[in-house]
Amino acid sequence: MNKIKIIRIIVSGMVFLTLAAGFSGVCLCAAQAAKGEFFPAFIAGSVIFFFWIILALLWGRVFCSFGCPLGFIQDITGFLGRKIRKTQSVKQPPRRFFRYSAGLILLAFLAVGVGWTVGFFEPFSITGRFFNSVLRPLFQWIGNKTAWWSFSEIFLSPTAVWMTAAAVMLIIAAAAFFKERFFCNTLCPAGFLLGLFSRMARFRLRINEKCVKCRACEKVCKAGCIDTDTGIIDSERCVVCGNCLTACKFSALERNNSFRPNEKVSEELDTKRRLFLAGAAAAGIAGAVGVKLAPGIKKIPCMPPGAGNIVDFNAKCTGCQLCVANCQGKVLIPALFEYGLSGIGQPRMSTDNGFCDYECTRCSNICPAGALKPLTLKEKKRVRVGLVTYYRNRCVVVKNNVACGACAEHCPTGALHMVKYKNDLTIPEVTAELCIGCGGCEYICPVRPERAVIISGTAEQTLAADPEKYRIKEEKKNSSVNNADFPF
Amino acid sequence: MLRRDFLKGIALTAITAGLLDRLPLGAAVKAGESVDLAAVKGRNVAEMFDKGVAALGGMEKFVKKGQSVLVKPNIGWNTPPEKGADTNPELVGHIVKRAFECGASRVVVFDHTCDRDWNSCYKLSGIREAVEKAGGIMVTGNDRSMYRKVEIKGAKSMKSALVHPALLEADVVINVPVLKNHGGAAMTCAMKNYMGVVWDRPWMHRNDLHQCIADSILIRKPDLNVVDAMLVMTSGGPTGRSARTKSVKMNSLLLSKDIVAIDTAAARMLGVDINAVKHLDCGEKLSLGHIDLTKLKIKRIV
Repeated sequence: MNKIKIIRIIVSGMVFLTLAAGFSGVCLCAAQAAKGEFFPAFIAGSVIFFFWIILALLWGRVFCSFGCPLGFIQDITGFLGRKIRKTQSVKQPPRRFFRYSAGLILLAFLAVGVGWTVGFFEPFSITGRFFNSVLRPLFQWIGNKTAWWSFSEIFLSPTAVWMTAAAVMLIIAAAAFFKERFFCNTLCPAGFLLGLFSRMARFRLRINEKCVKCRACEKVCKAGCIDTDTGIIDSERCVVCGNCLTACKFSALERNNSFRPNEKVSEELDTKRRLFLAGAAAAGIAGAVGVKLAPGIKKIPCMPPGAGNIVDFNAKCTGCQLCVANCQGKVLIPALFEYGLSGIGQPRMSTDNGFCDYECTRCSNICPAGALKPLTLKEKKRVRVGLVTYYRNRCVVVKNNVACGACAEHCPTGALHMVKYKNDLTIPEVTAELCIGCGGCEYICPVRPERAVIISGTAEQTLAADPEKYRIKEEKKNSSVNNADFPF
Repeated sequence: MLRRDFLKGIALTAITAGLLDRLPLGAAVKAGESVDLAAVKGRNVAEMFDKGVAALGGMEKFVKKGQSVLVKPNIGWNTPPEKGADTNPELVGHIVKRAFECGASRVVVFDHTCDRDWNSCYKLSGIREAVEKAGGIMVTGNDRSMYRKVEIKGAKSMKSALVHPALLEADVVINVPVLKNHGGAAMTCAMKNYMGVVWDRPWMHRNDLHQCIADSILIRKPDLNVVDAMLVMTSGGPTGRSARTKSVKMNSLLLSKDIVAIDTAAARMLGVDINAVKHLDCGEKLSLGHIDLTKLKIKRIV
């Protein structure tokens, strides 16, 4: 084995395990590693994006073999496929036209502001959804069954979400079993983008005159991009795995030393096809606009803190579910159609299982795509994601004449507090300017089927009143307790 | 906690200490006799516990060699100790330590936390560190599958409930609440702290909260209650986060076997109307203890 291959296996394995740890919801540092992923970095416009581009300009699609978790999974099933099927990879058609159309349509959707569509095909998000919706509950279940004390609460994503995540992963893994990096060179938007730069990669591999056309390299090429007949390696599809370097016994593979793209790639794009591609991009934009203008949503869901504006959020979030996996309050779940067609799979708050933890800023600080802006704890404690409404006629205190106050107990800001009702009973009252919409009250409200406190989402997250300033106003009204003696 | 309150607390305690020294306290209690309720003021919570438990007859009276012990603090909220929303970690750690010194085979500590991430609550409250340092085990209270269905004999509202196994398996149960104001139940102390052993709390809120709180004690009466009244939320409780929160340093500890009496005493300290804390009345009717404190032998240690 050559050095590239060994390093590739170690690095990609480590990246995969780190991301898996990040999605376990236990290790916050590992979750930060997601920011190193190519496509989220592209959306966030971070430095990491240029890092991968520079690597692509020098050596090619380094990311695909070293940094991509989905690539790692495909390498495993591909390896198994090669061993089990006892046949070797064969060279694949460039499918350049198909790849360009798919890539342009997805970029059009991204540009128009329907981020989840790209996320649906983007490798990091595909893996993320699989980690969070399928692997995590599975591992938690195994852990709970084997441990003496049970350790984790298991929450399944909505059925449609985890089944889709499992199905997509199954299809891609199965495709890799038969055709190795098939997905990477057809639908993957990261592969498409990186390919554009890898065309002119300075140190890309090329076949020299020592080649005896034994096809040893062709047979191990995961991308199927080597054509010994024409003597061309299509660097646009090459994932820099290093397999061919090991296979070649004649030192017929060497590093190129020029930024000039290969003169002839087996399938050139003629004018007609160029026109068609422009058409595809236009169709993509039209489709995306259609989705954006589709019948609006009746009730805006609560977005995670840091989302800012619903339009920006829907545009950027790829639905990788990293925030869902790390949510300390167990309040974030992947949406189905709550955002309409603009945000399928993007996180929303649901008080079925929990509420936003007052002391936590995880989601906003780990979002790799920049769909959630980083917040400090001080800022986050005032970010209003929704607003409470109290329905007095539903309240258990009014209906049954019994004490409750569970909502006020869970309110972190004092927006919802108890005031005198009758006899010794107290009843909730809302100070709207303090409400941040964390959902604590709605989560704990015992009234069913419709709760007596409901949080409604806001399209634009604003700041609630500062509880500290509020405290000073209230202070004078309270008298202090006599602490001089035990009063009994 | 505002500095003013803090200073006020210090000043008041100093005055109290000075005054009480001259008063003939514990007259009804003969020397060496164990009492029903001990009320301790001081600075060092570990020393205060030792003094209090000695007045009750010593820790050995409660924990025998080889017994498994459950210590049930209030770890409801993901807040630091200085908020006073969770039980003082030093106190919990000290009780665990004392239990082991009396030969406990195992000391388990848990709470069914209100904030959704129990790990963070255990950590930020400082209780995990204190307990594990003393050799105790922290277990989760937030997994429904662990809870067991139990019939509650004599209960008026909550006739059966899903109960945490740690409570059912323990030989000795030590209830360590923190005294706080509570918007709905008027006060949360020893009796209300027991809500943490029951899974379905919204059900309790729907079906006469005060009666359900009293019913929950019937599952398994605690052998000892230790009320942490070091830092007490007098309004805007129970999370300590609210803009309406006010806290006072009372620097007190109450210890008793009688869960109703200890809550009655605590209610007096908090300054709430005993009649508003209906679970006290419900508890007395279920013969869980006494509201009338004159029936108890009380020792005040200042």
